[in-house]
Amino acid sequence: MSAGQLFGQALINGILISGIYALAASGLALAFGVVKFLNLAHGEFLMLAAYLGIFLFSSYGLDPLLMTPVVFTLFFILGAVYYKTLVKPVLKAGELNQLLLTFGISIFLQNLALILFGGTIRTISVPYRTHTISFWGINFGTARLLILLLSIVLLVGLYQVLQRTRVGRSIRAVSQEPEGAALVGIDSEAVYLIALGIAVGFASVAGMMLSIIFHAEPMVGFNFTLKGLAVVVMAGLGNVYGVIWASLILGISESFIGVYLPNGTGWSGAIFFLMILGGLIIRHSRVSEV
Amino acid sequence: MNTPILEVTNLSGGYGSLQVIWNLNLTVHEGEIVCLIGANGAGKTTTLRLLSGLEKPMQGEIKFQGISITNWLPARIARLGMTHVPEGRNIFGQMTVRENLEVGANCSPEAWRKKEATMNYVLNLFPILKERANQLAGTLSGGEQQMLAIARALMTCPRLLLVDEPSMGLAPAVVDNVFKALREVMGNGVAIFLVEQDVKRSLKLAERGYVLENGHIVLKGTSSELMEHEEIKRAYLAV
Repeated sequence: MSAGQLFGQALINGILISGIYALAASGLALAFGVVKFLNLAHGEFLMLAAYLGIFLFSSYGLDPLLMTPVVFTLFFILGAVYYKTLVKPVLKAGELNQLLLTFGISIFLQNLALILFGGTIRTISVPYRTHTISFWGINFGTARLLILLLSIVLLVGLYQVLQRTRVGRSIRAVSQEPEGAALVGIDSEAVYLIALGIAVGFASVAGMMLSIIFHAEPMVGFNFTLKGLAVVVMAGLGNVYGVIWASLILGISESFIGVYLPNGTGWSGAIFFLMILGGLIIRHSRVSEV
Repeated sequence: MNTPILEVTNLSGGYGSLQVIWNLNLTVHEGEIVCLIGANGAGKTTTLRLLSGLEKPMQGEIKFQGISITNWLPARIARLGMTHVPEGRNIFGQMTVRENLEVGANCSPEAWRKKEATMNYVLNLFPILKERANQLAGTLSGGEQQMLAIARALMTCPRLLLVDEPSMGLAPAVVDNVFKALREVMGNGVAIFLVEQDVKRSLKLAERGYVLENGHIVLKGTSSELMEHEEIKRAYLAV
Protein backbone atom coordinates (compact mmCIF):
# COMPACT_ATOMS: atom_id res chain seq x y z
CA MET A 1 0.00 0.00 0.00
CA SER A 2 1.46 3.35 -1.04
CA ALA A 3 1.78 6.29 1.34
CA GLY A 4 -1.05 8.04 -0.48
CA GLN A 5 -3.29 5.02 -0.22
CA LEU A 6 -2.52 4.68 3.48
CA PHE A 7 -3.43 8.31 4.02
CA GLY A 8 -6.61 7.89 2.00
CA GLN A 9 -7.56 4.73 3.87
CA ALA A 10 -7.03 6.41 7.24
CA LEU A 11 -9.13 9.38 6.12
CA ILE A 12 -11.94 7.18 4.80
CA ASN A 13 -11.97 5.00 7.93
CA GLY A 14 -12.29 8.14 10.04
CA ILE A 15 -15.15 9.50 7.96
CA LEU A 16 -16.95 6.15 7.96
CA ILE A 17 -16.98 5.91 11.77
CA SER A 18 -17.98 9.55 12.33
CA GLY A 19 -21.61 8.83 11.35
CA ILE A 20 -22.17 6.80 14.52
CA TYR A 21 -20.51 9.51 16.59
CA ALA A 22 -22.71 12.18 15.05
CA LEU A 23 -25.82 10.12 15.65
CA ALA A 24 -24.94 9.44 19.28
CA ALA A 25 -23.82 13.01 19.94
CA SER A 26 -26.79 14.73 18.27
CA GLY A 27 -29.07 13.12 20.83
CA LEU A 28 -26.95 14.47 23.67
CA ALA A 29 -26.87 17.88 22.00
CA LEU A 30 -30.63 17.88 21.52
CA ALA A 31 -31.28 16.95 25.14
CA PHE A 32 -28.88 19.63 26.32
CA GLY A 33 -29.83 22.33 23.84
CA VAL A 34 -33.60 21.99 24.17
CA VAL A 35 -34.30 20.44 27.57
CA LYS A 36 -31.12 21.82 29.22
CA PHE A 37 -30.58 18.30 30.44
CA LEU A 38 -27.19 16.59 30.54
CA ASN A 39 -27.86 12.90 30.14
CA LEU A 40 -24.93 10.79 31.35
CA ALA A 41 -27.02 7.67 30.78
CA HIS A 42 -27.27 8.45 27.05
CA GLY A 43 -24.75 5.77 26.05
CA GLU A 44 -26.62 3.10 27.98
CA PHE A 45 -29.49 3.40 25.52
CA LEU A 46 -26.94 2.63 22.79
CA MET A 47 -25.80 -0.38 24.78
CA LEU A 48 -29.34 -1.70 25.27
CA ALA A 49 -30.07 -1.26 21.56
CA ALA A 50 -26.82 -3.05 20.64
CA TYR A 51 -27.97 -6.06 22.68
CA LEU A 52 -31.39 -5.81 21.02
CA GLY A 53 -29.72 -5.80 17.59
CA ILE A 54 -27.75 -8.90 18.47
CA PHE A 55 -30.83 -10.61 19.88
CA LEU A 56 -32.94 -9.80 16.81
CA PHE A 57 -30.30 -11.13 14.43
CA SER A 58 -29.23 -14.22 16.33
CA SER A 59 -32.75 -15.30 17.33
CA TYR A 60 -34.84 -14.25 14.35
CA GLY A 61 -32.29 -13.52 11.63
CA LEU A 62 -33.59 -9.94 11.37
CA ASP A 63 -31.07 -7.46 9.98
CA PRO A 64 -30.50 -4.70 12.58
CA LEU A 65 -30.28 -1.96 9.93
CA LEU A 66 -33.61 -2.96 8.42
CA MET A 67 -35.16 -2.93 11.89
CA THR A 68 -34.20 0.74 12.38
CA PRO A 69 -37.72 2.21 12.01
CA VAL A 70 -39.18 -0.25 14.51
CA VAL A 71 -36.37 0.15 17.03
CA PHE A 72 -36.37 3.94 16.66
CA THR A 73 -40.10 4.04 17.40
CA LEU A 74 -39.68 1.72 20.37
CA PHE A 75 -36.85 3.77 21.87
CA PHE A 76 -38.63 7.05 21.07
CA ILE A 77 -41.40 5.85 23.36
CA LEU A 78 -38.81 4.68 25.90
CA GLY A 79 -37.25 8.16 25.77
CA ALA A 80 -40.64 9.78 26.35
CA VAL A 81 -41.28 7.51 29.35
CA TYR A 82 -37.74 8.23 30.58
CA TYR A 83 -38.55 11.94 30.41
CA LYS A 84 -41.88 11.63 32.21
CA THR A 85 -40.72 9.39 35.01
CA LEU A 86 -37.07 10.27 35.72
CA VAL A 87 -35.97 13.43 33.91
CA LYS A 88 -38.86 15.77 34.60
CA PRO A 89 -38.68 15.60 38.41
CA VAL A 90 -35.02 16.72 38.46
CA LEU A 91 -35.18 19.31 35.67
CA LYS A 92 -35.78 22.24 37.99
CA ALA A 93 -33.41 20.94 40.66
CA GLY A 94 -30.21 22.01 38.95
CA GLU A 95 -27.29 20.44 37.12
CA LEU A 96 -25.76 18.56 40.04
CA ASN A 97 -28.97 16.62 40.60
CA GLN A 98 -29.18 15.80 36.90
CA LEU A 99 -25.60 14.55 36.87
CA LEU A 100 -26.04 12.44 39.98
CA LEU A 101 -29.29 10.96 38.75
CA THR A 102 -28.13 10.13 35.22
CA PHE A 103 -24.77 8.83 36.43
CA GLY A 104 -26.69 6.55 38.79
CA ILE A 105 -28.99 5.36 36.00
CA SER A 106 -25.94 4.74 33.84
CA ILE A 107 -24.29 2.52 36.47
CA PHE A 108 -27.59 0.79 37.18
CA LEU A 109 -28.16 -0.09 33.53
CA GLN A 110 -24.57 -1.27 33.07
CA ASN A 111 -24.91 -3.63 36.01
CA LEU A 112 -28.36 -4.73 34.93
CA ALA A 113 -26.85 -5.69 31.57
CA LEU A 114 -24.04 -7.49 33.37
CA ILE A 115 -26.55 -9.57 35.35
CA LEU A 116 -28.86 -10.25 32.41
CA PHE A 117 -26.35 -10.81 29.60
CA GLY A 118 -23.06 -11.50 31.41
CA GLY A 119 -19.77 -9.73 30.84
CA THR A 120 -18.79 -11.48 27.63
CA ILE A 121 -18.50 -9.58 24.38
CA ARG A 122 -21.25 -10.54 21.96
CA THR A 123 -21.00 -10.20 18.23
CA ILE A 124 -23.05 -11.14 15.21
CA SER A 125 -21.99 -11.66 11.63
CA VAL A 126 -24.41 -10.09 9.24
CA PRO A 127 -23.75 -11.34 5.69
CA TYR A 128 -22.10 -8.07 4.61
CA ARG A 129 -19.95 -7.63 7.71
CA THR A 130 -16.66 -8.49 6.01
CA HIS A 131 -17.64 -7.39 2.52
CA THR A 132 -15.71 -4.45 1.08
CA ILE A 133 -15.81 -2.26 -2.00
CA SER A 134 -12.55 -0.86 -3.39
CA PHE A 135 -11.88 2.41 -5.13
CA TRP A 136 -8.38 3.56 -6.07
CA GLY A 137 -6.94 0.94 -3.78
CA ILE A 138 -8.90 2.17 -0.79
CA ASN A 139 -11.28 -0.24 0.91
CA PHE A 140 -14.75 0.79 1.92
CA GLY A 141 -16.35 -1.68 4.34
CA THR A 142 -19.87 -2.20 3.01
CA ALA A 143 -21.36 -2.36 6.49
CA ARG A 144 -19.64 0.87 7.51
CA LEU A 145 -20.68 2.56 4.29
CA LEU A 146 -24.33 1.58 4.84
CA ILE A 147 -24.11 2.84 8.39
CA LEU A 148 -22.68 6.18 7.32
CA LEU A 149 -25.41 6.55 4.70
CA LEU A 150 -28.12 5.78 7.26
CA SER A 151 -26.59 8.28 9.68
CA ILE A 152 -26.57 10.97 7.01
CA VAL A 153 -30.20 10.24 6.13
CA LEU A 154 -31.26 10.47 9.78
CA LEU A 155 -29.28 13.63 10.54
CA VAL A 156 -30.49 15.40 7.39
CA GLY A 157 -33.99 14.29 8.36
CA LEU A 158 -33.56 15.77 11.84
CA TYR A 159 -32.33 19.08 10.44
CA GLN A 160 -35.19 19.24 7.97
CA VAL A 161 -37.65 18.60 10.78
CA LEU A 162 -36.02 21.30 12.94
CA GLN A 163 -35.89 23.83 10.11
CA ARG A 164 -39.06 23.27 8.17
CA THR A 165 -41.81 21.81 10.30
CA ARG A 166 -44.14 23.25 12.89
CA VAL A 167 -42.89 20.97 15.60
CA GLY A 168 -39.28 21.74 14.63
CA ARG A 169 -39.86 25.46 14.96
CA SER A 170 -41.47 24.90 18.34
CA ILE A 171 -38.45 22.85 19.45
CA ARG A 172 -36.06 25.63 18.39
CA ALA A 173 -38.26 28.28 20.00
CA VAL A 174 -38.30 26.49 23.35
CA SER A 175 -34.54 25.96 23.08
CA GLN A 176 -33.85 29.66 22.47
CA GLU A 177 -36.43 31.33 24.70
CA PRO A 178 -38.44 28.98 26.93
CA GLU A 179 -40.41 31.85 28.48
CA GLY A 180 -41.10 33.54 25.15
CA ALA A 181 -42.29 30.22 23.74
CA ALA A 182 -44.63 29.61 26.69
CA LEU A 183 -46.11 33.10 26.27
CA VAL A 184 -47.19 32.33 22.70
CA GLY A 185 -48.82 29.10 23.76
CA ILE A 186 -46.14 26.50 23.08
CA ASP A 187 -46.39 23.51 25.36
CA SER A 188 -42.81 23.01 26.51
CA GLU A 189 -43.73 19.67 28.10
CA ALA A 190 -44.60 18.25 24.70
CA VAL A 191 -41.43 19.70 23.19
CA TYR A 192 -39.24 18.18 25.92
CA LEU A 193 -40.94 14.83 25.48
CA ILE A 194 -40.31 14.85 21.72
CA ALA A 195 -36.71 16.04 22.12
CA LEU A 196 -35.88 13.27 24.61
CA GLY A 197 -37.72 10.77 22.40
CA ILE A 198 -35.63 11.72 19.37
CA ALA A 199 -32.43 11.73 21.45
CA VAL A 200 -33.01 8.22 22.80
CA GLY A 201 -34.31 7.06 19.40
CA PHE A 202 -31.11 8.21 17.70
CA ALA A 203 -29.04 6.54 20.41
CA SER A 204 -30.85 3.29 19.71
CA VAL A 205 -30.10 3.49 15.98
CA ALA A 206 -26.43 4.07 16.80
CA GLY A 207 -26.64 1.02 19.07
CA MET A 208 -28.04 -1.13 16.25
CA MET A 209 -25.12 0.01 14.12
CA LEU A 210 -22.70 -0.98 16.87
CA SER A 211 -24.16 -4.48 16.92
CA ILE A 212 -23.22 -4.85 13.25
CA ILE A 213 -19.71 -3.43 13.05
CA PHE A 214 -18.63 -3.68 16.67
CA HIS A 215 -20.08 -5.68 19.54
CA ALA A 216 -22.28 -5.49 22.61
CA GLU A 217 -21.03 -5.60 26.18
CA PRO A 218 -22.26 -3.82 29.32
CA MET A 219 -19.68 -1.01 29.12
CA VAL A 220 -19.91 -0.31 25.39
CA GLY A 221 -22.31 2.60 25.80
CA PHE A 222 -20.42 4.62 28.35
CA ASN A 223 -17.58 5.13 25.92
CA PHE A 224 -20.08 6.71 23.56
CA THR A 225 -21.39 8.99 26.28
CA LEU A 226 -17.84 10.26 26.76
CA LYS A 227 -17.12 10.58 23.05
CA GLY A 228 -20.52 12.15 22.55
CA LEU A 229 -19.73 14.68 25.28
CA ALA A 230 -16.43 15.47 23.56
CA VAL A 231 -18.26 16.13 20.29
CA VAL A 232 -20.94 18.19 22.00
CA VAL A 233 -18.41 20.29 23.91
CA MET A 234 -16.43 20.90 20.76
CA ALA A 235 -19.54 21.77 18.72
CA GLY A 236 -20.67 24.18 21.43
CA LEU A 237 -22.94 22.82 24.15
CA GLY A 238 -26.33 22.05 22.70
CA ASN A 239 -25.44 23.02 19.14
CA VAL A 240 -27.05 20.27 17.07
CA TYR A 241 -25.62 21.64 13.82
CA GLY A 242 -22.00 21.74 14.96
CA VAL A 243 -22.18 18.04 15.84
CA ILE A 244 -21.45 16.99 12.25
CA TRP A 245 -18.05 18.58 11.86
CA ALA A 246 -17.04 17.86 15.44
CA SER A 247 -17.84 14.17 14.85
CA LEU A 248 -15.79 14.21 11.64
CA ILE A 249 -12.85 15.70 13.52
CA LEU A 250 -13.14 13.04 16.24
CA GLY A 251 -13.46 10.15 13.77
CA ILE A 252 -10.66 11.31 11.50
CA SER A 253 -8.20 12.17 14.26
CA GLU A 254 -8.80 8.80 15.93
CA SER A 255 -8.15 7.09 12.65
CA PHE A 256 -4.97 9.05 11.85
CA ILE A 257 -3.52 8.57 15.29
CA GLY A 258 -4.28 4.85 15.04
CA VAL A 259 -2.43 4.62 11.72
CA TYR A 260 0.50 7.00 12.13
CA LEU A 261 1.46 6.88 15.80
CA PRO A 262 3.43 3.98 17.19
CA ASN A 263 1.01 2.03 19.38
CA GLY A 264 -1.52 4.40 17.86
CA THR A 265 -4.68 2.37 18.41
CA GLY A 266 -4.16 2.71 22.15
CA TRP A 267 -3.75 6.47 21.92
CA SER A 268 -6.65 7.01 19.55
CA GLY A 269 -9.05 5.97 22.30
CA ALA A 270 -7.92 8.95 24.36
CA ILE A 271 -8.24 11.64 21.70
CA PHE A 272 -11.71 12.59 22.91
CA PHE A 273 -10.20 13.77 26.20
CA LEU A 274 -8.12 16.23 24.22
CA MET A 275 -11.23 17.34 22.38
CA ILE A 276 -13.08 17.98 25.63
CA LEU A 277 -10.09 19.87 26.97
CA GLY A 278 -9.59 21.88 23.79
CA GLY A 279 -13.31 22.49 23.44
CA LEU A 280 -13.62 23.75 27.00
CA ILE A 281 -10.65 26.08 26.63
CA ILE A 282 -11.77 27.52 23.32
CA ARG A 283 -15.47 27.76 24.12
CA HIS A 284 -15.26 28.40 27.82
CA SER A 285 -18.39 30.46 28.17
CA ARG A 286 -20.62 29.64 25.27
CA VAL A 287 -23.88 27.74 25.39
CA SER A 288 -25.50 27.33 22.01
CA GLU A 289 -29.07 26.95 20.97
CA VAL A 290 -30.68 24.74 18.40
CA MET B 1 -67.70 47.29 26.17
CA ASN B 2 -69.89 45.94 28.95
CA THR B 3 -68.72 42.37 29.60
CA PRO B 4 -65.36 42.24 31.36
CA ILE B 5 -62.90 40.07 29.43
CA LEU B 6 -60.50 40.12 32.36
CA GLU B 7 -61.59 40.20 35.97
CA VAL B 8 -59.01 40.19 38.74
CA THR B 9 -60.16 39.85 42.34
CA ASN B 10 -57.99 40.30 45.44
CA LEU B 11 -54.85 39.20 43.63
CA SER B 12 -51.69 38.95 45.72
CA GLY B 13 -48.35 37.63 44.64
CA GLY B 14 -44.62 38.03 44.39
CA TYR B 15 -41.46 36.00 44.21
CA GLY B 16 -40.94 33.19 46.70
CA SER B 17 -41.90 34.57 50.10
CA LEU B 18 -41.44 38.16 48.97
CA GLN B 19 -44.85 39.70 48.43
CA VAL B 20 -44.95 42.42 45.79
CA ILE B 21 -48.62 42.72 44.89
CA TRP B 22 -51.37 43.26 47.46
CA ASN B 23 -55.11 42.64 46.91
CA LEU B 24 -55.34 43.85 43.36
CA ASN B 25 -58.79 44.37 41.84
CA LEU B 26 -59.10 45.32 38.22
CA THR B 27 -61.16 44.69 35.10
CA VAL B 28 -60.59 45.05 31.39
CA HIS B 29 -63.57 45.04 29.03
CA GLU B 30 -63.82 43.70 25.49
CA GLY B 31 -61.93 45.81 23.01
CA GLU B 32 -60.70 48.58 25.32
CA ILE B 33 -57.25 49.80 26.25
CA VAL B 34 -56.56 50.01 29.97
CA CYS B 35 -53.25 51.12 31.36
CA LEU B 36 -51.46 50.39 34.59
CA ILE B 37 -49.11 53.17 35.55
CA GLY B 38 -46.69 53.55 38.38
CA ALA B 39 -43.11 54.24 39.27
CA ASN B 40 -40.19 51.86 38.92
CA GLY B 41 -40.58 48.94 41.31
CA ALA B 42 -44.27 49.55 41.97
CA GLY B 43 -45.06 45.98 40.83
CA LYS B 44 -46.30 46.60 37.29
CA THR B 45 -44.26 43.86 35.65
CA THR B 46 -45.06 41.45 38.48
CA THR B 47 -48.76 42.12 37.92
CA LEU B 48 -48.44 41.12 34.27
CA ARG B 49 -46.37 38.05 35.14
CA LEU B 50 -49.11 36.96 37.55
CA LEU B 51 -51.80 37.51 34.92
CA SER B 52 -50.02 35.48 32.24
CA GLY B 53 -49.17 32.64 34.60
CA LEU B 54 -45.40 33.18 34.70
CA GLU B 55 -45.71 33.62 38.48
CA LYS B 56 -48.13 31.77 40.73
CA PRO B 57 -50.44 34.02 42.75
CA MET B 58 -50.43 33.78 46.56
CA GLN B 59 -54.15 34.41 46.67
CA GLY B 60 -57.00 35.86 44.70
CA GLU B 61 -58.65 34.97 41.44
CA ILE B 62 -58.03 35.75 37.78
CA LYS B 63 -60.95 35.26 35.42
CA PHE B 64 -60.51 35.50 31.68
CA GLN B 65 -63.59 35.38 29.44
CA GLY B 66 -65.52 34.15 32.45
CA ILE B 67 -63.16 31.21 33.06
CA SER B 68 -61.05 31.05 36.21
CA ILE B 69 -57.45 30.77 35.02
CA THR B 70 -55.77 31.12 38.42
CA ASN B 71 -52.76 28.77 38.56
CA TRP B 72 -52.94 27.86 34.86
CA LEU B 73 -49.67 27.40 32.99
CA PRO B 74 -48.61 30.31 30.72
CA ALA B 75 -48.95 28.31 27.49
CA ARG B 76 -52.53 27.33 28.35
CA ILE B 77 -53.45 30.93 29.16
CA ALA B 78 -51.98 32.06 25.84
CA ARG B 79 -53.98 29.41 24.01
CA LEU B 80 -57.17 30.72 25.64
CA GLY B 81 -56.49 34.14 24.08
CA MET B 82 -54.52 36.24 26.57
CA THR B 83 -51.03 36.89 25.26
CA HIS B 84 -48.26 38.64 27.15
CA VAL B 85 -45.65 40.76 25.35
CA PRO B 86 -42.95 40.69 28.00
CA GLU B 87 -40.57 43.44 28.99
CA GLY B 88 -37.48 41.60 27.73
CA ARG B 89 -39.36 40.89 24.47
CA ASN B 90 -38.13 37.27 24.52
CA ILE B 91 -37.97 36.93 20.76
CA PHE B 92 -36.27 33.91 19.21
CA GLY B 93 -32.95 35.48 18.22
CA GLN B 94 -31.60 32.60 16.14
CA MET B 95 -34.74 32.36 14.02
CA THR B 96 -35.82 34.63 11.19
CA VAL B 97 -38.52 37.24 11.65
CA ARG B 98 -40.90 35.10 9.60
CA GLU B 99 -40.15 32.01 11.69
CA ASN B 100 -40.80 34.00 14.88
CA LEU B 101 -44.22 34.89 13.53
CA GLU B 102 -44.92 31.31 12.44
CA VAL B 103 -44.13 30.08 15.96
CA GLY B 104 -46.76 32.53 17.23
CA ALA B 105 -49.29 30.95 14.88
CA ASN B 106 -48.55 27.52 16.43
CA CYS B 107 -50.54 28.68 19.45
CA SER B 108 -53.94 27.24 18.60
CA PRO B 109 -55.72 25.55 15.71
CA GLU B 110 -57.60 28.80 15.13
CA ALA B 111 -54.38 30.83 14.95
CA TRP B 112 -52.86 28.29 12.55
CA ARG B 113 -55.91 28.41 10.27
CA LYS B 114 -55.72 32.20 10.09
CA LYS B 115 -51.92 32.20 9.77
CA GLU B 116 -51.63 33.78 6.31
CA ALA B 117 -54.23 36.46 6.95
CA THR B 118 -52.76 37.40 10.34
CA MET B 119 -49.26 37.42 8.87
CA ASN B 120 -50.36 39.90 6.20
CA TYR B 121 -52.08 41.98 8.83
CA VAL B 122 -49.07 42.24 11.16
CA LEU B 123 -46.63 42.86 8.30
CA ASN B 124 -48.81 45.76 7.18
CA LEU B 125 -49.02 46.99 10.74
CA PHE B 126 -45.21 46.97 10.97
CA PRO B 127 -43.92 47.33 7.39
CA ILE B 128 -40.30 47.28 8.57
CA LEU B 129 -40.79 43.63 9.57
CA LYS B 130 -41.74 42.82 5.99
CA GLU B 131 -38.36 44.12 4.86
CA ARG B 132 -36.64 42.12 7.58
CA ALA B 133 -38.72 38.96 7.10
CA ASN B 134 -35.78 36.69 6.30
CA GLN B 135 -33.33 38.27 8.71
CA LEU B 136 -32.41 36.66 12.03
CA ALA B 137 -34.46 38.28 14.77
CA GLY B 138 -31.36 38.74 16.94
CA THR B 139 -29.96 41.19 14.39
CA LEU B 140 -32.94 43.58 14.64
CA SER B 141 -32.73 46.92 16.41
CA GLY B 142 -34.46 47.38 19.76
CA GLY B 143 -37.48 49.04 18.20
CA GLU B 144 -37.81 46.37 15.54
CA GLN B 145 -37.56 43.67 18.20
CA GLN B 146 -40.36 45.35 20.15
CA MET B 147 -42.49 45.42 17.01
CA LEU B 148 -41.67 41.76 16.36
CA ALA B 149 -42.66 40.84 19.93
CA ILE B 150 -46.04 42.54 19.48
CA ALA B 151 -46.48 41.07 16.01
CA ARG B 152 -45.61 37.57 17.26
CA ALA B 153 -48.16 37.95 20.05
CA LEU B 154 -50.79 39.04 17.52
CA MET B 155 -50.11 35.87 15.51
CA THR B 156 -51.71 33.92 18.38
CA CYS B 157 -55.04 35.66 17.63
CA PRO B 158 -55.42 37.04 21.16
CA ARG B 159 -58.57 38.56 22.64
CA LEU B 160 -56.45 40.46 25.16
CA LEU B 161 -52.88 41.64 24.82
CA LEU B 162 -50.78 42.30 27.91
CA VAL B 163 -48.04 44.72 26.90
CA ASP B 164 -45.15 45.48 29.23
CA GLU B 165 -43.26 48.76 28.78
CA PRO B 166 -43.29 48.93 24.98
CA SER B 167 -41.49 52.27 25.08
CA MET B 168 -38.55 50.96 27.10
CA GLY B 169 -35.26 52.05 25.61
CA LEU B 170 -36.74 53.21 22.33
CA ALA B 171 -36.38 56.52 20.47
CA PRO B 172 -39.49 58.75 20.69
CA ALA B 173 -40.28 58.40 16.98
CA VAL B 174 -40.22 54.60 17.30
CA VAL B 175 -42.45 54.78 20.38
CA ASP B 176 -44.93 56.81 18.34
CA ASN B 177 -45.00 54.02 15.79
CA VAL B 178 -45.55 51.33 18.39
CA PHE B 179 -48.35 53.27 20.10
CA LYS B 180 -50.02 53.96 16.77
CA ALA B 181 -49.95 50.23 16.06
CA LEU B 182 -51.45 49.43 19.46
CA ARG B 183 -54.30 51.82 18.74
CA GLU B 184 -54.91 50.08 15.44
CA VAL B 185 -54.85 46.68 17.12
CA MET B 186 -57.47 47.91 19.57
CA GLY B 187 -59.54 49.14 16.63
CA ASN B 188 -59.59 45.54 15.44
CA GLY B 189 -61.35 44.41 18.59
CA VAL B 190 -58.38 43.26 20.66
CA ALA B 191 -58.38 44.53 24.24
CA ILE B 192 -55.07 45.80 25.56
CA PHE B 193 -53.77 45.96 29.09
CA LEU B 194 -50.78 48.25 28.95
CA VAL B 195 -48.08 48.72 31.53
CA GLU B 196 -46.04 51.88 31.06
CA GLN B 197 -43.79 54.34 32.74
CA ASP B 198 -44.56 56.96 30.10
CA VAL B 199 -47.70 58.10 31.88
CA LYS B 200 -48.69 60.94 29.57
CA ARG B 201 -48.52 58.79 26.49
CA SER B 202 -50.37 55.83 28.02
CA LEU B 203 -53.18 57.97 29.37
CA LYS B 204 -53.59 59.49 25.93
CA LEU B 205 -53.88 56.05 24.39
CA ALA B 206 -55.97 54.32 27.05
CA GLU B 207 -59.57 54.86 28.01
CA ARG B 208 -59.08 54.00 31.65
CA GLY B 209 -56.18 53.59 34.00
CA TYR B 210 -55.05 52.20 37.32
CA VAL B 211 -52.25 53.67 39.39
CA LEU B 212 -50.03 51.21 41.23
CA GLU B 213 -47.91 52.25 44.20
CA ASN B 214 -45.88 49.79 46.26
CA GLY B 215 -48.03 46.93 45.08
CA HIS B 216 -51.35 48.58 45.86
CA ILE B 217 -53.80 50.18 43.47
CA VAL B 218 -54.14 53.69 44.87
CA LEU B 219 -56.16 55.33 42.14
CA LYS B 220 -58.35 54.40 39.20
CA GLY B 221 -60.51 56.20 36.74
CA THR B 222 -60.94 57.29 33.17
CA SER B 223 -57.86 58.70 31.50
CA SER B 224 -59.19 62.25 31.55
CA GLU B 225 -60.00 62.00 35.26
CA LEU B 226 -56.52 60.69 35.99
CA MET B 227 -54.86 63.34 33.86
CA GLU B 228 -56.61 66.04 35.87
CA HIS B 229 -55.82 64.45 39.21
CA GLU B 230 -53.48 66.59 41.31
CA GLU B 231 -51.42 63.63 42.57
CA ILE B 232 -50.88 62.31 39.06
CA LYS B 233 -49.99 65.72 37.72
CA ARG B 234 -47.45 66.24 40.45
CA ALA B 235 -45.92 62.76 40.55
CA TYR B 236 -45.99 61.59 36.95
CA LEU B 237 -46.75 64.39 34.56
CA ALA B 238 -44.38 66.91 36.12
CA VAL B 239 -46.62 69.94 35.68
